[in-house]
Amino acid sequence: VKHASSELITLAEEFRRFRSPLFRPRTWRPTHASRGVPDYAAVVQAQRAGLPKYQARLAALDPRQWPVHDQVDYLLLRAEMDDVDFEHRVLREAVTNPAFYAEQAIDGVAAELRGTVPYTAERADAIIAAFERTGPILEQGPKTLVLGEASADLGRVGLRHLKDIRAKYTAGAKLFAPHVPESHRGRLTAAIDKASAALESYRRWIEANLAAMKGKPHVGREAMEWYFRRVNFVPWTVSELLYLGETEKNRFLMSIEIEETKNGGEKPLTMPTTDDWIEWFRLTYLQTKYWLKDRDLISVPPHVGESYLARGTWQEPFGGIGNRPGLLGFAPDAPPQPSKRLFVVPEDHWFTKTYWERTMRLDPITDYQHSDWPGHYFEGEVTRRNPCPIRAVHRDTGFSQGWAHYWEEFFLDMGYPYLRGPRTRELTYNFLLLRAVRVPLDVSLSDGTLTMEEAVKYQIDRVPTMEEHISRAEVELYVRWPYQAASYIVGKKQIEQILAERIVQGRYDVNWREFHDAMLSFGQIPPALVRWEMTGHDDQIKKFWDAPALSSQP
Amino acid sequence: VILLVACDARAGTLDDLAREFWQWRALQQPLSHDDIPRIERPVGWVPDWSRATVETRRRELASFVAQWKAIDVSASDVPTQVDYRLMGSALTRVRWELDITRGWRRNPLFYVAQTMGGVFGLPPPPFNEARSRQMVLHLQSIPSTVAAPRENLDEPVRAFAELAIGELRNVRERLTTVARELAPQLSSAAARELPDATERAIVALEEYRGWLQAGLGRMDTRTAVGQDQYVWFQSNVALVPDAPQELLAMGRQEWERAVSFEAYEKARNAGLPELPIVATVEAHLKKQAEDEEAVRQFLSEKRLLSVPPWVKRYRNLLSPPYLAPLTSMGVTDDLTGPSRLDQDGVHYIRRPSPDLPYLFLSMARDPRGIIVHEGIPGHDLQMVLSWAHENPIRRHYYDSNSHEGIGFYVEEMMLQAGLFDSPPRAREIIYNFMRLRALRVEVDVRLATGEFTIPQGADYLARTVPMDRATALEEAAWFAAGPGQAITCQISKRQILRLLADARRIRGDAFVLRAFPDFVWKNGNVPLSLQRWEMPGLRDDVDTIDRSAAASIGSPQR
Repeated sequence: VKHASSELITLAEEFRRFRSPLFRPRTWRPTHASRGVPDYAAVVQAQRAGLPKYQARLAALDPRQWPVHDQVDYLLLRAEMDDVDFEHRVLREAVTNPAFYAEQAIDGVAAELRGTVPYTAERADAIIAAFERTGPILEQGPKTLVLGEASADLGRVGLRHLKDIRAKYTAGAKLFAPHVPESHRGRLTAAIDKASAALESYRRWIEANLAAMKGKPHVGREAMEWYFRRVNFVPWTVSELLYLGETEKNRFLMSIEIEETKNGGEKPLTMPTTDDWIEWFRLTYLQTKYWLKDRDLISVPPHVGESYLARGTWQEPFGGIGNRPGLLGFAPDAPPQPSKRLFVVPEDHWFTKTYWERTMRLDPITDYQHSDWPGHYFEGEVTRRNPCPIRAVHRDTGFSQGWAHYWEEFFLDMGYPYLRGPRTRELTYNFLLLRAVRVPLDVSLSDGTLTMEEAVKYQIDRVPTMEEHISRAEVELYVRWPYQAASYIVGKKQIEQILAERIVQGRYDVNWREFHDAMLSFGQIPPALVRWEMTGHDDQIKKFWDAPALSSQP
Repeated sequence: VILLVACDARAGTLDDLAREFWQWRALQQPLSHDDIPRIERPVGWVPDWSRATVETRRRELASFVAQWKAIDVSASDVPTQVDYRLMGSALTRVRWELDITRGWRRNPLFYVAQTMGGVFGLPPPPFNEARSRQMVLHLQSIPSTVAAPRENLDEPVRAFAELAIGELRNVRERLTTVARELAPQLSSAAARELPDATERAIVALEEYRGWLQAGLGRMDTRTAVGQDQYVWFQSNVALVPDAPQELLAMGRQEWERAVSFEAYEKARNAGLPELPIVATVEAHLKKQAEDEEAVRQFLSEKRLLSVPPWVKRYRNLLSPPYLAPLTSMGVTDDLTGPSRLDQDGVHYIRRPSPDLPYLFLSMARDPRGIIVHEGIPGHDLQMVLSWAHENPIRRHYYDSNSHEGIGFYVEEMMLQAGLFDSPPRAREIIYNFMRLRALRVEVDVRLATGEFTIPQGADYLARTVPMDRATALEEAAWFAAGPGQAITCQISKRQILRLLADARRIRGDAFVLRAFPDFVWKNGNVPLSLQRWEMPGLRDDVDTIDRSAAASIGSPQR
């Protein structure tokens, strides 16, 4: 890909090296590449001080005469800079979020535990070092957090992370110590003990200072709207999003009612054992792959392999992030390449009763098209290979979640042959309903209309089978990440918009493979920008150019 | 006890007003192309749009409004307050017709509907003495009806005049055919008077056409009713809480969904043959009758909705030769009326052919789409249930929004429930209906608010449907002539889904899908914002409407 301006590419490379990975939303936080103990206050200062220089260099470029592709790349880079600005002007996690330091310490350990066992001596050293970083990371919390601005709600998130933390670390040690070389086990035990003490101490500090924390967890209406427009390129106003969300929510509720009524005589779906589920999952992979191929719906590149399940275990807080804090495995073999492996727990574990897990176990396809083929895994493997250096790295939740969510209703309406019968349709509409409910949830959580506790209940009250574990984990993520919750259904609607417009442009003749391949060819970028490139419609773009920078906001 | 007496007294006053108003409305309400507002008229009724009569009606309307305002229902129960608002809406609709859209002053097509529309004899034969007499009387009234516009049309709109001129093309040939085919059906006395009445009507209509043609150059090219007036209509007459921008956003999103879903269906059915067109009229009628019965059974088996056994059939008949020249005058169906609940609902069809117009072609391929929307469980069932309502206000009040919303909602409900799963491609028809309804929103709102001229609306239709530009121009002019009508399906389907969702949330596990239509269908004449207030007890839409109405022009609502 040759760009009109080589300076744009140079700037992107330099800016991305400059951007600290420490402050990105939790699911995206990389695995502490530096492996040192960051000086958070200094990093924040450096980010704030350095950012304007990159923004000035970008502003000095005049993209208006560039090809559309290059103009889009300009906007993408601008959004990445805006995101950093948002991290340090609005979110300010190092100053306002007591849970931040606990997450930094814990996630750093969890990241080192991934991979195959037995651990080599070098990896064991890295694991021990991660435990040893715990104290130095946590010590910075009380020094850097500003109590008057810190949020007690986020403090309580930290307390939940740290509940029974010594017992959890001790139990974790029993699980992974056998995989560490014997020569390292003594140091490991000592490091875990020291880390536990530091975490307990930090927990006591949060408890003691909770009452003094006077800040709010939410970003506020103005910041939310700015973020939607400048970082996520959402073409619709907040009231339009709410209207959209409500329309879709009601439609999905109707669908659930009708499906349940229609399936009244059908046998209820039975919960499989974990071994049976692993097999159902494999069947789902095969059926989905060949259904997509047979229908010629999308090209299947060689770098997308099987996604599969493997037996694992549960030990918080070393597992996956978010709602899977304890899900991990110790596999002696590396997954074949290409492939995606996900660990799962035995069928008698409490986690199997949680919202997502329960439904996915009833029929894997309920999430398979979203998370695996042709959703996140598939899309991620394609878009990260984009030949444009700006697009290969850019990540956008509107595209990522919109794409994954789009397929759920596509499968429903395209007549996907559900392996477990028609009751799967009820479950799929339930997932669709949740995403529609998240639109008002996102807005209300971000503008402070709902407290975090109210938001947890809001989802439970509106989505059948939703429960506290999942709802809470999601709310804790969404409150610090505006638009993420809404991006599923909004991104889906944007893809439907592009599809409809391409259908009209093609005089109602659709080549599905070409459409889906084209969608992925633009990279994981905001759908509004995909629309501009794909349909030529620039009606949504003007407002993105005109939106002011955060630094110019009052 | 005291409260009950007080409520009864108020309700009685409201009922008195309603009784007088509906009697008056049966005389005054203009004929229209839409099948929903068709009402039963008194014997011997003919349209009268002379200036003097209009002025009298204005005074009578003011008197009704004064009576209505004098009634205080603020302490009454919600159903009484709903009835009160229904009467407010009905009164305001008259003002909308007389003073805002003022078709009698702006729209030459209005007089085509008042004349040719009255010859449009929809209930199937027999034509008894009274009905025969009525037909002749109407023909005899045409010369005086088309004399009125010469005095009334002081703000004529050119685009509407062109539509009227088009409608009156070949009027001699058409009415002559009607008279020839109708004569054997009529009583002998009426049949004797028919030729003369027809000839006078033809001459009058030809003269009207010529008069319009001569005046085209002086007519107004602006068609939009205006943003404020459009909002006023939605808030005060239709009682719709959504703002135009919300309607546009919804219309676009639904259009995008419909285009996408229709494309999914086509992909799903790739390689399969098109649905065949039924070979003969007899085969069509047989299939339609079987399908109508199958739809009833499906509703029962899937526990979606109850059809009371007393509800008569909804059936197709071949369009009689006396109707054929007049099919452009409106929907060719007869859904009966409050006094004819013992009769079948009828939708006339044409002889099967690949060249049939859109809806007729869909019926020739699969009658179920129209059975569901127009018949059972759509318009026919809902209107019959509403016409049997014990409350005369709700029996007589009409509002195309809720009717069309129900008709449109049941299409997707039945599709989702699996009615159209077989034969393959049947689902495509339903998504195609959905697509066309969604794109009307954009055209209706933008034409009404002035964001589209008719050529711009035509460009949009030509590009999006797609269709040829000449037809698109005509369609756009039709939309402009009846602001707020083309969007009723989409608006109200959204409201029904919202009502269902909230009723389900409030009732929780006690919610039963089949029980939902029992209320909504019976009260199907009532705007959904009011049903929402009465059934699940949510007055959010009513509050939104009140705020909007208070901010808009000259509202008679409170």
